[in-house]
Amino acid sequence: MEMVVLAPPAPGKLEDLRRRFFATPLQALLSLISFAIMVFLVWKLLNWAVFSAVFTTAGGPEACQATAGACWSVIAARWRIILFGLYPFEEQWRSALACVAVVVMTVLSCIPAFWTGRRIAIVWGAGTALYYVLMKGGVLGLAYVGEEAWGGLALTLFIFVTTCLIGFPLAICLALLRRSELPWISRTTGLIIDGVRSLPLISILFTFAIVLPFALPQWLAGDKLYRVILGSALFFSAYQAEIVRGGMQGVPNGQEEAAMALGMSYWQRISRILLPQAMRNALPATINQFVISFKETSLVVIVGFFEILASGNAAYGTGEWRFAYVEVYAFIAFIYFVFVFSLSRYGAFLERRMSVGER
Amino acid sequence: MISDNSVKSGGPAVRIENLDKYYGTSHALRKVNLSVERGERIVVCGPSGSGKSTMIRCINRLEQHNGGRITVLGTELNDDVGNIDGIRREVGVVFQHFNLFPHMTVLENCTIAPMIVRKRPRAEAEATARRYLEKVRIPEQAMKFPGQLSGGQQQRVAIARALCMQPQLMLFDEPTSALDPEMIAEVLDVMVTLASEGMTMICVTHEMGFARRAADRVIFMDGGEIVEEAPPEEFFAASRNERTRQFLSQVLGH
Repeated sequence: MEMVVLAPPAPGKLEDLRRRFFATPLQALLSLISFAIMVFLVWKLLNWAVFSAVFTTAGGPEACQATAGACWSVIAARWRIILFGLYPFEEQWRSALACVAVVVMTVLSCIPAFWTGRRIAIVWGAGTALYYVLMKGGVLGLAYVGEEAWGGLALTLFIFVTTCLIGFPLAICLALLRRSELPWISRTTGLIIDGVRSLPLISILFTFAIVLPFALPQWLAGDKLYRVILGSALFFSAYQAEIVRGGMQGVPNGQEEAAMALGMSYWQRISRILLPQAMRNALPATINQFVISFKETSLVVIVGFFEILASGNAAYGTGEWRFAYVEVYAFIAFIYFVFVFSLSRYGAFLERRMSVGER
Repeated sequence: MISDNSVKSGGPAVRIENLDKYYGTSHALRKVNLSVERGERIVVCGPSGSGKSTMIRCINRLEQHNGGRITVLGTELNDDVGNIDGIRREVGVVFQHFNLFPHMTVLENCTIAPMIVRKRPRAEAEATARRYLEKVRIPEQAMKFPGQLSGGQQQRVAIARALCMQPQLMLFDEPTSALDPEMIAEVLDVMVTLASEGMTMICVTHEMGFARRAADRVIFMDGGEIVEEAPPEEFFAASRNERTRQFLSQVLGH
């Protein structure tokens, strides 16, 4: 007979609970107190957000003021301002469709099956073109709406996505230039990166929005929105370039030597050997940078754009709903959370996918 | 261009004349002269820091030489990028630390260069790759990633990857030095097979057994110079040089 050795049986659920939280009288007491505090807080929150809350606009603001709960009716009454800002009321379906276009474009370009140069170019080209035509109009029977009237979620998404689309390739270029063998190229690039990084984003946005038009000829200056996006992309690329460079430093020299020895050209070595490995190393920091950039879009309010946070201010700021600002901010926080949380979950998926075959 | 070189048969595979190489102020190679015929198997040995790795890395421009001339397969190695790329296509290298691409499967490691450098269609590149993986005796590992293989297996993949470019000359830079002892034999066996099939090979190695079995000529380097070169029997039995005898007693002495 063969001896079968079994691991000692795992403790049951109750036994595990007892060992972790009720091992000594003092520990039991602390556990009970903490548990009571948690129950109290959760009850308070639920009571405010659900049980005593007002959900319909039927009673108007007065119904809200009569209860101690949350006034979600402000969202029901004002969600259009929050999501679409100053965009003309009758045309807001276009802004909604434009949001969908940007989200679909982002989701598609996150799917590995679309990671070929041609497919990604089609997705991005079609996505941004669709957004632009829908928002701006003036063609296909759509009424013209100038950039100054764009706002809310549609604007936030557009600024974020275009910042990344322009900033990411720029970051890779900067990172490659910084590791150039020619000292005057690598030093100049280093100076640019460090220069941009040492400025606050607000001052860069301000410069691009307000100061640049005085320095540039009219035809080159373009609309304020695109200058702001350019400034924000530049800021993004300076940080991202350092992240990419860090990733490249983690790739052993032997990788490039092996690629050279196989006769690969510079661009083949960069695109097939160096960058895929560098991006794998840089992934956690890259996702972090994307998350920061998404939240930093709220800064464009200082140069006069009503992105989602500023639209929120406008939504409660007019008279009758003035008391309901907490609910408006909670709603906006929820929207930010949905986007940023999906971004970080996607990052986790990529990390799992890329770690295939690693020991 | 190099592509005409297979036609331009005759002439040595590699000719090195008065090669000088400096790292800063240290003189790594001192007026080295070496000629390797097509089909010849050379083993280069010597103490560490003697310049043997540097010499073979100069042959395909992984190191840039500072003086002298290197002619590979009839093409002179100079600053002409076309010449460098042409030579690299025809010269396979196997490194001490394998340097497989960790983000690609074994099969992709073997097919990427034939596909993007030689512009071979995928089906053809994969067929060639599978043939060479068979030759190095690991066809069943094709879909694995390098990180999932043992050191000996990785080095055999690295040999297959180099062979997939169908090079005219193979350089081995201490191919067994990073391996656990029990894996050295499987790599050396593949190299002996390759040698017996007439591949032109230059191997930097301390495996004197391999030198005895496979080499046409053994070269001993010390202090950046070629101190002695001789056929293996002569080299091991009756070296005339004091430094060679001392080195041999160290590598063979136990």
